[in-house]
Amino acid sequence: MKTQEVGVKANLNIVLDSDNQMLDEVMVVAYGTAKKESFTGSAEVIKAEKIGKRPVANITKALDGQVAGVQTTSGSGQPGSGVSVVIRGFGSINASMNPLYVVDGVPYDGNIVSINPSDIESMTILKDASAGALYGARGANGVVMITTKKGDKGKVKVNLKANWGVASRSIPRYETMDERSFLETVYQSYKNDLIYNNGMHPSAASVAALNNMKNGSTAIFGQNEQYNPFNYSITELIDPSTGKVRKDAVLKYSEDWMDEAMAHNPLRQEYNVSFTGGHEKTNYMFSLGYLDEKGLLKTTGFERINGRMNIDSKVTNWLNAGMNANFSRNESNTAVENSSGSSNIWYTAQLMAPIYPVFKKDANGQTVIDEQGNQVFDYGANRPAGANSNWNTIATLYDDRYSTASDNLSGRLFAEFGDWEEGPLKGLKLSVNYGFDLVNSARMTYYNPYNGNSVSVKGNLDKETGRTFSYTFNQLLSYHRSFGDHSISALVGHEFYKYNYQFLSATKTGFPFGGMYELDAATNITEASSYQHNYAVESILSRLEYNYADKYYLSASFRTDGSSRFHEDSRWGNFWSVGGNWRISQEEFMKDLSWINNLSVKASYGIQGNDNILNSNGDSDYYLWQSFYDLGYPNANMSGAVLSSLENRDLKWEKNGNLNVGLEGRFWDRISLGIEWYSRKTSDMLMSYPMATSLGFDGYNKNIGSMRNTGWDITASADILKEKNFNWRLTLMGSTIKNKVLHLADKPEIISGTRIIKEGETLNSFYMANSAGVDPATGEQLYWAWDTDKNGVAGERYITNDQAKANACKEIQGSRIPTLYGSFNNEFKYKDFDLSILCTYSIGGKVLDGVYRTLLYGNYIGNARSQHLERAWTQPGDITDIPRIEIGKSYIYTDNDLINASYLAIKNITLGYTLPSKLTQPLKLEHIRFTATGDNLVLFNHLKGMDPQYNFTGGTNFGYVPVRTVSFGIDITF
Amino acid sequence: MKKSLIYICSLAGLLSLGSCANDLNTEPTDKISGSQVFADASSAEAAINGIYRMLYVAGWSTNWGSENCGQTAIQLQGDLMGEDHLMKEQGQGWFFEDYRLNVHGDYASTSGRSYSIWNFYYTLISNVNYIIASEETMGGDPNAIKGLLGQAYALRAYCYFYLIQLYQQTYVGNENAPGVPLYQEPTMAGSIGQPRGTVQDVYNLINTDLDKATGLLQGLAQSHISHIDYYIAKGIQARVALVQHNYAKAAEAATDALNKNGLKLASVEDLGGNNNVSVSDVLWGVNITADQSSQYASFFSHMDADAPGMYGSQARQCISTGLYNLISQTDSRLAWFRGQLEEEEKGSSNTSYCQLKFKMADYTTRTGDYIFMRAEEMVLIKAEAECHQGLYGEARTTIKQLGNLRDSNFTERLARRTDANTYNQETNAPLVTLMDEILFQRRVELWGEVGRIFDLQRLGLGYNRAYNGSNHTQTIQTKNTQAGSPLFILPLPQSEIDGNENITDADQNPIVQ
Repeated sequence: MKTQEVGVKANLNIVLDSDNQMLDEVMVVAYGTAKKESFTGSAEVIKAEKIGKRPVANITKALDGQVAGVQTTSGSGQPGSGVSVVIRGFGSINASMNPLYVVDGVPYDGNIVSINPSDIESMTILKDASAGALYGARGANGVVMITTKKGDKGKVKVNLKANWGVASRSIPRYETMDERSFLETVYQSYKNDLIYNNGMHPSAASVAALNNMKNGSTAIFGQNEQYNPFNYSITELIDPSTGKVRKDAVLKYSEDWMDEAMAHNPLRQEYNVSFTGGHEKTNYMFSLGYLDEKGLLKTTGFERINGRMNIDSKVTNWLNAGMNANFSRNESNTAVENSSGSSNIWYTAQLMAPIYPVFKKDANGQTVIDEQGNQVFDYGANRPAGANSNWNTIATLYDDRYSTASDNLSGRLFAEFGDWEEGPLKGLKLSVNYGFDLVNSARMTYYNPYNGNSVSVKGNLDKETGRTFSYTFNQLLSYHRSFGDHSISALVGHEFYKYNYQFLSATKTGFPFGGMYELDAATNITEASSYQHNYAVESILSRLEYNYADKYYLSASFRTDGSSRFHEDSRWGNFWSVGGNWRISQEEFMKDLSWINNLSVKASYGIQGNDNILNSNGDSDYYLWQSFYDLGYPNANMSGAVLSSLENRDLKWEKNGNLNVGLEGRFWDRISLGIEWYSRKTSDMLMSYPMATSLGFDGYNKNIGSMRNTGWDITASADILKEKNFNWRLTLMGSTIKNKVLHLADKPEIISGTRIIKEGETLNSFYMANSAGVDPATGEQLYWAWDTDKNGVAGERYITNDQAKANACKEIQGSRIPTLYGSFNNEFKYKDFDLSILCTYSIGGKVLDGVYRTLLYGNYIGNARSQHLERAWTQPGDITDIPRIEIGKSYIYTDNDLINASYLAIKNITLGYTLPSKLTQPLKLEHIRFTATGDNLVLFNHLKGMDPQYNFTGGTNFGYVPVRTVSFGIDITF
Repeated sequence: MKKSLIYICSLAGLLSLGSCANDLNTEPTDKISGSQVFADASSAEAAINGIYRMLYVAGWSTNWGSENCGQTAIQLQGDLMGEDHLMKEQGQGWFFEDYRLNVHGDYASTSGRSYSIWNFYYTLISNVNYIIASEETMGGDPNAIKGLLGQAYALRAYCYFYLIQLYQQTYVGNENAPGVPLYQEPTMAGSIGQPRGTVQDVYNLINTDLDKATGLLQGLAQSHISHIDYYIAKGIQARVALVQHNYAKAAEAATDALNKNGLKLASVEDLGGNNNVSVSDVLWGVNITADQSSQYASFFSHMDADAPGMYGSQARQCISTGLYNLISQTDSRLAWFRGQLEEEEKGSSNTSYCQLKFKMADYTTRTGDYIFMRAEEMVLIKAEAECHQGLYGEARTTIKQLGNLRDSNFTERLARRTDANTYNQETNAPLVTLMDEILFQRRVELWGEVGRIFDLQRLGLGYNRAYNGSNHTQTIQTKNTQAGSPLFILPLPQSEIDGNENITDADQNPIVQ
């Protein structure tokens, strides 16, 4: 296996042909390496220097904007967390869309965050079949190949890197109402309710509304107006004639739950040291890294300590051997997010109405202090619906605990035999590779006995341990020879992959007091569970490549995979690819065009596979075809089993036919251009074939359905200025993607809530009613509707206030998928200074912002409200897009709820200064560099507070806000 | 060179022993195949116990699992849809939308009531059908096989009985209305969804199944209080006959059910928090152990306003003043409810008319047994059925069994009622007839546990929550609460229409939003 040799070359940009000024870039590809110009497939390399600019713990967060055709979500702001990545569109409906991660040549099952970005030499993104088909089994969604650094012959180099930064919100908060506007809004809502639903006269309603705010089941101030933040009683506070809070009212207190939960300038510190070197026969690299990242949300954080050792040795003239090993210890403190539970602070603090204080207040609005001098939390027994009564989410943040710790050990061992320079076996080589990943993880969820979730059970502790062990073992025979202008290489191999996951958990309740995190301290076992997952794939693979005079390149690959997820009669899938590359610039007739450094056209087609169907929780389903009884249903002390799946022996691989056509060129030794067009058709799609729910199952797994993704990926870079002291390079990337569902199961559409998957339409299109605005006379929300006759013919459209009618007249209203997205990157170099500015953009697509909609139309009186409600309808004649306020009234979804998803983000600005050598040499230093970086700096979009990259389907949730990091670093080599 | 070749070949050979085709046959470690389960009657016990367990596990919907705690959730929901039971607060909304008849809009979601209930009963039915289908192949003790099959038939009838009451108007007068899909064969990959058929078809299957069940179970001993025996099957038969207005059969079946050895009506004191299956009146119930509690998503978490931190303390369940004011001052069941309180308190049962009938047995484990059928209900069925038939003397004798146990002045109270089987159409009106009294006893005795809406439906009653002195927090005056209101039943879930080629939008129930 060659990957171990390549890391260095990739960094060196070896000059092969001085006449042509050609830069032949060698990149790591499936089971070997290739030169970019000669490659028949589609692959892009991200180099160490690009990765190094991003102060991220998890390498997936550095992918956004780096490669055309790669889309990522923003990811959570939780330190250490990653993002979701899709390459060239959406390959499946029920199966995984994640790319395959390969580390040093072997598929990776460890945590991505265990890989220290400083150890990475390069990442190659394989986008098409020609590049990825050799990973047949699991390559259908593209491949991310991570290659780590290795040693180099020569003097030992020691590199020290340190980086310090602070985090803050990268996306501002939604604009919500202050105490004054909130009370006026509640008042207006109560008044509207009395007028429009109870038929009360407006003048009587004005007075009654005030009383409803104070007394009865709709009261919002608790007992004796304890939550009235103003210095006037409610009956004096709001003037019934204007509905406004009186001008001279003064706030007794004003507390913000979200501010209270945020850490101020949480520190991120990272230290890395590495040693590289080598002798005649042996090269080595070893490194140690430490990262400590405090979260923006108090109590959250991530800590990683890792060590890596990469060694390779030429043992004899016919044997090369080596090993890469990485150990990483990761520890995280996390918090609940993305749920609408009381323990999710992103939900409760964001939706807490502004009048409710975090800390208990006395009659004067002063915070109550306990005997120890601590502020007393307000648990809010009297807070109304939506204001999280009997709970203080800040207190539980401190007193509850969610933590994970994992030990990750990865090893990549190889031995290469043969590879003689001469003799009858010249060019023949046998490689044997063994790669394993071992992850031992422990997770803890603790609810304290004093407040929150588990008061009644006196605390609750859940402990889980998981052990993942997977290995890939392969034997590859390769042959490479050149005969004059002809050059061939061939590869055949066998590979076996095995995955095992063991899970054990137990939960107990009943603690004598808080702050104890061991099961022994508790009294009652409420849950105990263990299980295993097993998965195996066996493969035979082969590849043939031919090159004539560096002009014509042909490649073909074939791989057959057997997956344990399918019945033995349907287990084996055949995957293949063919590709060609014509380097026109090498032709005689182009020789005179000296401004063309390189020009090549390429095309490839192939079939890749996917067996990773997901269950309803989004987890891998390892036993797809079998029918089982689940034993997890004991009845008291008697064993109980329930039918959990239906058998389908015919289930087989999901297939992905991938066509790629591209043009690659470099001109005037300044401009590089890559244009590719792809068409990717998924067929035999693994889907849950819908069954009548009355059959006891909503569906069963079946190969049905097809879908197509097509698009352009364009990358252009230009050295705009190449002066002695000043360089300016601009790189532009743009991608388009069109997705079309071609065929589904028995019915041509699957509707889930506000999304539809329909034949002939884009995957996960929005499907909702049409708004006809707000009635200026009554302030009611109006809709477009039509009646359908017996023959299914739709009648004329009319306007109605009937939500049921409108809901029966839903239409497709676009999707999240953008028209064009990409990045532009400016890199400047002036003397010893360098500056790079990376911006990402996305044009088109829509978002249904659930968080914003809750702030507008949330069901509960105790919820915070969007400032945009200030333009709601209040009296006849008002022309507005927001109906009269009636808190608790639910509205169906319409096209009016969709927000333009386009955005422009300043993703990263890095300013570097390298000390000139005249200063470093006296210090015996090879290199010193200082950097200042701003990451995730600014986002410009259509709605303040909205995260347009929350997910790929255009939703949002109450999640940990992505963070901006401002950091300073120093990098010393000696 | 040659030597090195040998090295290479032998090393390569050694290293290539990397796989074995058997490794590609993987199986889960926590699941087994159907053939293992149905090998014989004793292993098949696991399949029947799995079904009983499903009656009390939560999570029959994609989200909103908190209000989908199995069978008891459906009984609570059915009670809240009527006029005797109210929620003091909205809380986070769990059950509140049932209370304000506002769940029709969720029919397309796999989180809503339409889906969760449908999914619940049909999942049970598909499991039952596998047991019934294994009759021929199962080995083992013939009596054990009979017992399994008898329970399976009774469970199938039980499920269809709830389905038909929840997804269609009541039996009488709607016999030819669309029913619910019927299945008697196990589900396979590729099985086809059945059409709705008629209400009559559904009751025909229910009755056939119950006849089979009672035939198979007669004479067999009950091995656990959760297992359906002959008497429980008779009890289900009595309930079904009551809905079908087949009163002779109802009285007979209820009498049979009451013949269970050791079964005895219990005093209010003995009933305690209605959370213990070992009380003498319990015919059928499930015993909830600490590790099998569904925690927050449990009946008692929703019911008990004094359970610390539980939902019941934030959205308190109360009796309506309309019903409460009909209870005699000497009735021991007054202890099940708070009266009008001078001082109210948040977060506990100290609020006017709060229910105290259902209490968690143990707060530290969040446990409390669920009772699905008790002797008092059988007495009430019997009395009502006798009264419907005009057997007033018998009905008086029967109802006294319960009445005297509850109310020291019951004899006098009963003497004031006229012999008639008509009943008030205005449900909170003063009691006049014997039938009024029996129905009132039923409302109080079974408050919160059988689902008032099912009684309203079979009796052809509607209701009004906005009466003088009403303590209802949701009077829903704009909604139809007349007898047979479309809001008294649920729409079919959209997933059924999507997945069933024999059911289209045209087969959908009326949807009121």
